[in-house]
Amino acid sequence: MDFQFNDEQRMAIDAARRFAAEKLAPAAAEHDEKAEVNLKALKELGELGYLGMTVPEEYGGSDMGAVAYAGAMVEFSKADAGVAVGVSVQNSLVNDAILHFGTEKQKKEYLPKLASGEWIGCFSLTEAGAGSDPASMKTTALRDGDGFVLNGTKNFTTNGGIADVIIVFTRYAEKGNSAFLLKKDASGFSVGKHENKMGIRSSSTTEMVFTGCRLPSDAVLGEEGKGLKVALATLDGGRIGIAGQAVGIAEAALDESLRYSKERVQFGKPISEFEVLQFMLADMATDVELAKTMLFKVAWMKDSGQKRFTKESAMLKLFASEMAHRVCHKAVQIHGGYGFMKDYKVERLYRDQRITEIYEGTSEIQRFVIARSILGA
Amino acid sequence: MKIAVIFKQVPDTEAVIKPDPAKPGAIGEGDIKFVLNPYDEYAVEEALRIVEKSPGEAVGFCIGPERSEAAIRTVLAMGLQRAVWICEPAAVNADVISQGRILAAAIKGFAPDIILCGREVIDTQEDALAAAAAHFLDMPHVLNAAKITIAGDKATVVREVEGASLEIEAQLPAAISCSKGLNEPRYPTLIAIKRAKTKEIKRVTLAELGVQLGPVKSRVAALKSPPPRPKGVRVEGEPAVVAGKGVEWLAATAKVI
Repeated sequence: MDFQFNDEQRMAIDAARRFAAEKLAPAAAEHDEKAEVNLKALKELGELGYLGMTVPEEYGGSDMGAVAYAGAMVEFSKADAGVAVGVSVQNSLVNDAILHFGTEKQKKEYLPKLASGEWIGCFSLTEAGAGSDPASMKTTALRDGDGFVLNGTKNFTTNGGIADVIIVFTRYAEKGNSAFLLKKDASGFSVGKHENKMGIRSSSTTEMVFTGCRLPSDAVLGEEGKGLKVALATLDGGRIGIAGQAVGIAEAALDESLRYSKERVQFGKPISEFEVLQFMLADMATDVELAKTMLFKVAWMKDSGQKRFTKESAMLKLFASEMAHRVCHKAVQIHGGYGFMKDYKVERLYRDQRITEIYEGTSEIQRFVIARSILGA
Repeated sequence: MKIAVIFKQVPDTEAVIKPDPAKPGAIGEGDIKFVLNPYDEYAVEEALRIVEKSPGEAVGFCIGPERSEAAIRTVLAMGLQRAVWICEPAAVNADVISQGRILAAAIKGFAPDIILCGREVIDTQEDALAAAAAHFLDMPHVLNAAKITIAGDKATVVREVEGASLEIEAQLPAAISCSKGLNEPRYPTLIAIKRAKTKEIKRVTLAELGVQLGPVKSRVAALKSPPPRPKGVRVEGEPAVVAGKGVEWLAATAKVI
C-alpha cells in the first residue's frame, strides 16, 4: 500500500489545479449563465496533454495514467464541471474506445488528433427510447454494397455540438449492435437540437441525427455485431472520470461552505461555531475524503493493468455521485438564502452535481451491476 | 544565449504560516504545500523565451533543503535543460549575501550571458539574491524588470516606477530580477512533466564549489505570528446616528480627524 502520488502525478495534478484556478474558474459562472462551451479552454487542455492522458505516446498521447487523470478531473471539476465533462468524455469514452477496440489504422488516424485536442470527440449511445437499456436502440446500420447506411436519432450526446469525431452505436438487422467511428463531415450526419440543461451548462449536449448517413466498411469500431461490448466496456472506465467530477464538485462545495461558515455571523458569532454546523461540515469532509480514496483506488486498479474492475467502478460512481448530492445539499443549506442565489457558487454546484447520478449509468444501474457481481449472478 | 535562472521553493501563497514551536525562526512545515516562488516563474519563462529565440542553454540554480526537489522538477518540466542544486544546511541557512556568493561560485563555470531571478522570494521577502550573485561575478545588476529586450551584447530593461517607467541598459553578462507582468508563465505539458524525470539534477557541495562560509553575520532569530486583531467597536442605530458616532470616535478615540 502506498497512498502517495508519484512526482509526475503530483505535478500533473498541480498544473491542472493552477489551470483550473486561472483559466476555468474566472469564466465559469458566465459560461453557466449563457450556456456557452469554453471551447478555448478545452483546446488548451488538449495542447497541454490533458485530452490524451491514457493514450500511449506512440499515438500522440501523454500517457499519464488513470490516477493523474482522476486527480486532474477533480481539479477541473472544482472550477467548471462543464469543461470537466468534456475532458472526461474525450479521455474515457472516445480515446479509450478507439484505443481498445480500434484497428491500427483507426488508432493512427484518430488518436493523435484527439489526444492533442485538435479534434473533439463524442460518444453517441443514448436515444429517446433507449437510456439505461441501450440494447433497445432504434438507430440502424444496414449493409449497403461495400459499406453501411445509418438512420436514426441519438440524444443527450455530451460534446455533440463541438464534436469533430463521433462514435455512434447502432442496431444492425442481422448481427446485433455495432459501433461506428465517423467524422462530422460524413454525408447524412447533422447535429440536432441543443439541450437547455439544469447543470453543467458550459458543456454541449445535443441530438445527433443520421439520415441515410453512408459509411465505409472500415468505419466499424470493434467487431461488427459486438457494439454493446464496446459501449459497456468503455463505460467501465468512464466511471472514473464521472466520479472524479463528482468528487471535484463536492470538494468545491465543502471549500465554499468552510469559508462561508467562518465568515457568516449570526447570534453574535460565526456560524461555524455552532455544533449543528460543525457536524454537517464534518460529515461533508468525511464523505469527500472517502469518495476520493475510492476514486484513486479504482484509478490505480486501471493503471496497474487489472482487467476487471466493473464492480469497483460501479461502487465508486454510485458512491461518489450520491456523496456529491449529499454534500451539495448541505452546502446550500449552510449558505441559507444566499445558497439559493446565483451570486454564490454553491447554487451552480448543486445543479451541476445532479447529472452525476444519471449519466454514464444511473445509480440504479450501478446498484444492479454491483448486486449482480456480489451475488455471482 | 546561456541563461542561468536562480530559483527557490517557498510555501504556497494560500498556506497558513505558523511558527514552529520547536525551531526558533522556522515555520511549521507539517501541512504546508510548497511551490516554486511565483516571481521565479517569470524568470524561468523569460529564460525559455530568450533561448527559444537565440538557441543556447537555460540552466536552473537552486539553494534549498531536500523538499526543494519538487520545485526543481517543476522548472525542468517548464523547460530548463538541467539544474544545479546546493542542499547543504549551511547553504540553506546562510544569509542572503552568503547565498549570493555560493550561487556565484556555482554559476561561474557555466559563464552565462544572463542571470535571471524573481524580484523577491515571497516567504522571507529577501530581494538581494540576484544582486549579491551579480556582485560576486562582477556583473551589472538590474532589478524589477517588467520588460527585457536583448540586442547584441546589451539588455534593455523596463522597470515600472511611481508614475513613470525607466529604461535601463546593461552590458551583458548581466543579472536581472523579474517582476510580475514580465510574461505569462507557461503551464508544463504532461509530456514535459514526464521528460523532466530524465533531466540532470546535479547536487554540489560547498566544498566542491570552494566556498568557505565565515561566521554567520545575520540570521532569522525569531518568527512570530502577528498579534490577534483587537475587538472592533460596534455602533448601532439609524444611518445618521451611526455616522455621527463614527465621526465622534475617529476624532476623540482614534484622533485621526
